[in-house]
Amino acid sequence: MTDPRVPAGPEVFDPKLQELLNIPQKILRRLAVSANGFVFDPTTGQSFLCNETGLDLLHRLQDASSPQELLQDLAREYAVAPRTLERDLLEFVGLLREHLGV
Amino acid sequence: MGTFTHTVAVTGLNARPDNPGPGLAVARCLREATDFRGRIVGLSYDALDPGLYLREYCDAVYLLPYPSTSSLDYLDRLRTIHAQEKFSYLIPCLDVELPGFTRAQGMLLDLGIHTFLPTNDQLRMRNKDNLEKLGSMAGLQTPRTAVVTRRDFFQTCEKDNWHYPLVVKGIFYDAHIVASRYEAEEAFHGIAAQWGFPVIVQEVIKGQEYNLTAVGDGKGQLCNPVMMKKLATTDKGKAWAGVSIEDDVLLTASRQLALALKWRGPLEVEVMRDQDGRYFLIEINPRFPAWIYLSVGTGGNLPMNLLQLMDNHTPAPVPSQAGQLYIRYAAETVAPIAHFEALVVDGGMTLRNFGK
Repeated sequence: MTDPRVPAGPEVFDPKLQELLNIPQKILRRLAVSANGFVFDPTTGQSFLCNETGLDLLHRLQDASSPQELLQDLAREYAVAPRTLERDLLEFVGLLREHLGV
Repeated sequence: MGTFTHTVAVTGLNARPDNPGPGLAVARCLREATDFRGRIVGLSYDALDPGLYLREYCDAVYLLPYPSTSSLDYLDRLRTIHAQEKFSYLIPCLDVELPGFTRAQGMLLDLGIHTFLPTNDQLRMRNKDNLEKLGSMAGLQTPRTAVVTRRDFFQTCEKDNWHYPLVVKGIFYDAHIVASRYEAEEAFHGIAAQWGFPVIVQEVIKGQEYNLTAVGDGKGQLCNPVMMKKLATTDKGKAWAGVSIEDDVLLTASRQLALALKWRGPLEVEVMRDQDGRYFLIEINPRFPAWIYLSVGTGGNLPMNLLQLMDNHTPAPVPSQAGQLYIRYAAETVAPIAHFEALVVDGGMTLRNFGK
């Protein structure tokens, strides 16, 4: 689903967000993620729940080769204004970092 | 090592819900091992220790005099029980028993009783008043710690930058978090009366608690380590629920400790991980923890590994499975009053022949 009103490209995003998105792949890849959104970190013993959107974001974070690539994908996929995407991502990544202790 | 058919004595059956001893969990691990066909003799100190009444785990149960009594009386009692039950292996499960059993290893072996215990030097090295050195061996920080023998410490400690809350600990057991001088002095007196001096005072490290248990082979290697994160604790800070994990920092630190100490026997390493991801060594216990049944839940069996080491066999490595949750629960067992009578009058009994 692409919204032609949403300009694609990383330049619209806050560089701080790109930095926050840069969670080490070593940490993201070790997570046990169930289809129902239950996430378990086998190193810290932390577990938490993601909703459908959060689960999608987590999978994209695990698969993305770089924060820039992720941001471009999300801008293409989600029909939301850049500011909204930025705000939602900031909230999600903040919570994720808290749960992962990074 | 094939099927195990000998008799094993296990101490510490004080499986009280808020602060259980490890003995019952050790007996349960052995009983559930596919290659264990032996007998289990449960040894404990109080006629109301719950493990003394659970025939599914123990074939016979006996009372011992408290370890603080004369070592001659203690060992005489052990000889009497041994003459009756002919156990060939002994697994002590309480910190306070270890110095005595370590000293008596030769005598026990003369009786045909095998043990696998740390040396006196190793026991001294892991003392709570030696934490800083242990931390340096493990490559971990340690909380600021003071060895205290006088109540006066609490009158002046704030001037020396000790800020409440603090942890006040016994040299063997017990720990209280205290928020004021009044609470600290009360905890100091209570702990000193029960466990003697010195009393340990530590700064509180805020964070998550992670523990590791394993058996040291006495040559510097750890056999089949199992790690867990506490998810819920009792009022006394004992694990009530936890989950198995794989934490490289805790594992590496524990391996370094085992190597430096050449640790022989079971151990538990306790660390705290603070909000900044820094690890602090809290203490090392020279025995299995009460949560040892998690070693069965994660695919291994550390009490069986201990028996293998007693027989000079190297246990096969078993990878520990992360993500196994355990929850402790309280349940009642029912026994005829004659069972209690046999314990207090005769000092023990064979459970399998004891009618319900």
